[in-house]
Amino acid sequence: MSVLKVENLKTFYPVKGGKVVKAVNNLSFTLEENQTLGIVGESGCGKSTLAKTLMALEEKTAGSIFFGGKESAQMSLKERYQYIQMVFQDPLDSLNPRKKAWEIITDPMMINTNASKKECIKKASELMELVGLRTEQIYKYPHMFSGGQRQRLGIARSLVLNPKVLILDEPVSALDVSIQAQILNLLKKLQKEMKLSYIFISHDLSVVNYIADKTLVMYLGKVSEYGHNDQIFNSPYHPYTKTLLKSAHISSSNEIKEFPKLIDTELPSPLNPPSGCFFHTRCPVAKDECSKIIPPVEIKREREVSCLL
Amino acid sequence: MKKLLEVKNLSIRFETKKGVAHAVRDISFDVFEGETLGVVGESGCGKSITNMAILGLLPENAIVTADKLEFEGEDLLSLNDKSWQKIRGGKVGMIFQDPMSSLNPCYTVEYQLNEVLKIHRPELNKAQRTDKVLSLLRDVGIPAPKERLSAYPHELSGGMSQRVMIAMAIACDPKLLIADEPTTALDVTVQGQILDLLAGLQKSKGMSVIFVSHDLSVVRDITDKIQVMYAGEVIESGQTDKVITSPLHPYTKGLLDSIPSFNDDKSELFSIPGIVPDLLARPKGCQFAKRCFNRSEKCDEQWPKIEQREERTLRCFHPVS
Repeated sequence: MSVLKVENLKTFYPVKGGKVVKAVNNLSFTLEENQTLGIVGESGCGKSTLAKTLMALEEKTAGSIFFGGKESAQMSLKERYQYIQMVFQDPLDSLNPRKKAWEIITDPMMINTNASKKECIKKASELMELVGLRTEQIYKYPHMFSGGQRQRLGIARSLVLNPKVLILDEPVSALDVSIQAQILNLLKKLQKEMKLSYIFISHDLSVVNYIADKTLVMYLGKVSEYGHNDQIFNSPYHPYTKTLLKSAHISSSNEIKEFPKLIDTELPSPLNPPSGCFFHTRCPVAKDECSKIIPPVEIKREREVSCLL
Repeated sequence: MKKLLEVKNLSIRFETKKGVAHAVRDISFDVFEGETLGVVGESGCGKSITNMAILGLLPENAIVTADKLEFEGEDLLSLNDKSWQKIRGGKVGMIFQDPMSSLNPCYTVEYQLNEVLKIHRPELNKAQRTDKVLSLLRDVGIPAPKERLSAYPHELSGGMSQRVMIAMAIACDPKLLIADEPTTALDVTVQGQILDLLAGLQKSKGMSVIFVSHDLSVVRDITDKIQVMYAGEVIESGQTDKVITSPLHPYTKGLLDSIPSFNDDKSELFSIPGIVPDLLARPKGCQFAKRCFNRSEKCDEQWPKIEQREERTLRCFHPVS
């Protein structure tokens, strides 16, 4: 059974002048137990809004979210946060500088359960050991840790309520490559040991290719392509996916290397998205009909694609 | 090819309350005309501070020593403020990492580009300057340049701001362009465009480029030579393809192995244990010894010297074979 199911999710922000920014626009996906779903796309495509909506930090406009078969509306926030937790991008900005390591880690426990201080300290040292920190560091403050260690603290905090699902929002983007590898290895180890499921948001395609089982490519709030990793990365269908792979200088396939360049480098304004297919203004292989017809999400070559071609 | 920049045994140190911090120690490299040099290494390894020394932008408390620091045969260490001005922005252009914070938010694009020309090309009159600004904006691929003249930085996207920064850097046809992580703050689609732009400009203007980045896949694709820095030292340098395909220093190998490769191999990534040494309390021997898989007792005791080996320079007792 899937641990997380999202159906036709929409998160809209009203702005001045009666306009609406459709940050997340009709997304559907499922996350299976012990699996990782990668989410990629340019800044402003709605990746982080999706994460916030799943964490109930933003209210959804429409659609439904199921946590292990139970609809989000029927769950209290306390229940929800014992099911799903989040690790943030910047390890220093997301840790309270006035709190000690053990307090940071067990904050969710103090809010959501009736644990005593003693239990919290015990839990904190267990978790620090689990994520590869020395237990004598539990009385230290965030500034006394290095970047990689801080991200380990953030991971320990996300695990304190034994969630089933973790949202990882660019968890390694702020780290150096050698430290990035340490954290990716840790995430893989934890997933195996604790049967966790991850939603892994990143702009780094080689990292997503490495860690995820399925990947969802987003463009202006909508899905471009969604499927298993070997399909998305080895035989991409959507011109946008091909563009991303080409720009990242990682694919050795000739089809990707020789794929034509983008027509327009700039992302259109989400306030005034283009007609038809949102990508047609930049798409190097667009046809006339792309500017008129909104492409439906269809199954093509064993993956979901929204493209007329 | 002519030697443009020659750096020999450059050291930069800071005297702090806690002691002396050697930010850069004993580094040597050359940049020839038309060549691209890639500089890679982790944060705090001295990449940016080396560039600041070449541009004379180091803070007052920095103590710089070098056997040689010459640009076109001119000794940079003996320059006064006025002569620095000719080099900075004139013969050497610089692009910074974050375009949003390197442009002044209070002035228009035209004003900021004009400023460079006013200082370095005093012979131009106002109309000529405006023409030059427009042609620069066209060179860097900004659509409708006339309309962008009166735009403020906040009205531009990240990619557009970086294009304006590049226009400023090439305004005086520099011989050397220093690009310090020019694409790190940008989306991958924009990154590709900016890299293409830089490569095109380099060809058409015959510039040399120092390209600083932590992204090895980008450095591999666009540079001729590469130097790997660790804790303020150059630990390996040579032809890019040689260094990337057969790294000799364990640190270079570790860096390359810790990047997830783009294939179906999903096994555990190699990771370099530990963290970089504190610059105030440097180890006596090899700076990388503590984290190295190939070390011996000698590495803890002695500081390895720079050697030539297999067409590259190396600072290591036990290279990877």
